[in-house]
Amino acid sequence: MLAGLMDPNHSHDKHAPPIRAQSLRATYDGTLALEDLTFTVEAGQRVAIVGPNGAGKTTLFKVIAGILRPTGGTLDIFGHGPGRHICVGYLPQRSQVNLDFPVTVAEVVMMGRVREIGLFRWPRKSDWEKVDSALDRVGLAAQRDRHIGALSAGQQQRVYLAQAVAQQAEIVLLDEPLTGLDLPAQEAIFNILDELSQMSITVLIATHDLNLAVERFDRVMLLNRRLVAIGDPETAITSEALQAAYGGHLHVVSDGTVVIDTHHEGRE
Amino acid sequence: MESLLADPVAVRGLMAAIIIGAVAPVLGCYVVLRGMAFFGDALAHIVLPGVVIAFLLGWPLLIGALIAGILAALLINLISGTTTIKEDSAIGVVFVAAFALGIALMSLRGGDYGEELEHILFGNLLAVSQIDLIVIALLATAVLVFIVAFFKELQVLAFDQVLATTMQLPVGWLNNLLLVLLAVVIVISLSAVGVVMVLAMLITPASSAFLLTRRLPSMMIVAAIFGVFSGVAGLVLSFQLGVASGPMIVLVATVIFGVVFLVAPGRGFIASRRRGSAT
Repeated sequence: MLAGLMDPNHSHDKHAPPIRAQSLRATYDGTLALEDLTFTVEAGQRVAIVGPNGAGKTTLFKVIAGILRPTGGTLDIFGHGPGRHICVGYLPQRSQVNLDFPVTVAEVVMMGRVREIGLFRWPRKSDWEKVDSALDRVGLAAQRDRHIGALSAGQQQRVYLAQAVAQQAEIVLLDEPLTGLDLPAQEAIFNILDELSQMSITVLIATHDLNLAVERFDRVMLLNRRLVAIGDPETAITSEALQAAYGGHLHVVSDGTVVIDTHHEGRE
Repeated sequence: MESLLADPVAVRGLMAAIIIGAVAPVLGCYVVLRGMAFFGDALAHIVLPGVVIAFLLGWPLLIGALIAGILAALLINLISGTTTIKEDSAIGVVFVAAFALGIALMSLRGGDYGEELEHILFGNLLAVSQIDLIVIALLATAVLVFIVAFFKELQVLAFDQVLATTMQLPVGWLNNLLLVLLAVVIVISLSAVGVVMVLAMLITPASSAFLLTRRLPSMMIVAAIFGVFSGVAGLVLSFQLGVASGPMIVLVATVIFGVVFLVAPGRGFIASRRRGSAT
């Protein structure tokens, strides 16, 4: 365990795809949450994962992040099994983070570098430079010394994106990052995601918002415990696929518009 | 005050109060931030049978307490991880039972065990021997070394457990480290405030510091300053007023908390009230 801590990059094949799942199965809280998932995500792609509540979006993220072990099949992150990578940045849903914690914005971003810095060492000047440039990228340079709790929800999401940048994450997972944000705040997040794509960082985002997924993402994955469809928004999103993913909550209005009834949906 | 410094027994007590006052609140910052106050209190009570057994065997009390504390910390971690019983109930069952066992063992000895028991329960800085003081100083130094050495990792773990796991930090190992440090701090604090009031050394100065600071390092420093002040002022006052030292230390720390709670900018009671009425 401590050996892994000393050498965080010992199993990382740059030329392998960032994420490759084969017949992946996972259980969460004792119930089967993911079944027979096979897909590959290439470097720099931006993938929206869409599906109803309980479809396994959060479970999939936890498996990719190495928090949850798969119960079957394989999942390779850059050619090696999950759980030993520090190249994955994970922004959980509406972070369960304690906003009273005595910590500044820059210190939260620096937490992304803890593994890179290593045990028994303190952040150097070069680490703080990386933190400052990450904060600059997300437009929060002016807020660096403020308390984390003093920021708006949208700004806090950007702090976590900066943390992933400082971590030099190559895969960033965002679980419902736009929920509760107003339009300008959402737009700010999208601008940052554009920048991440330019840095050839692979971004996976879980969302309930199908329209958003279709409009703003290279690839869409429809998930309902099983993989329903994955591909370009045009080819992946067919009415059959939607029916398979959403079942009874799907209503096709007369002019062809698809309406998904998500009223009873809460947290996953 | 001068007569206090002329008495070697009082000087040892004063030094113990300073060391404990400086170290316990620093670790206490993690207890406060991670919501482990109940756990800390339970751990302090669980130490009792270890102290009593050491006392009956004629060993140094600190050794018995240390073994019991570390064993209990790791045991609670194990139990709460493997049953469906809620963690606080599991801790409650274990800690009261251990406390009862400690007192039962003490009464086995027969005769007048009241005074020794009182020292263990409520602390007595004037009973700190030369060897006790050396052990306290060494253990306190070790705790500080660990807190500093693993500062980054412990901070991430306290702030965001998901992040710590995603970054592949050894979360289980770090949690156990924190529990062992907690057991050690409780044990060295016993001589100052006793089993029953150890919690005050851990959380009262740290809670005051929480209300005043915006960064963890400053919270730790402010907590240590409050802790040392409480220890010294409590001991001096106990001499002047003829009151037991343990309770006096706790009361000083509590008065500081009361004042800070009222007037702290931003997070204090008055500031919250003002904000509430302004909006």
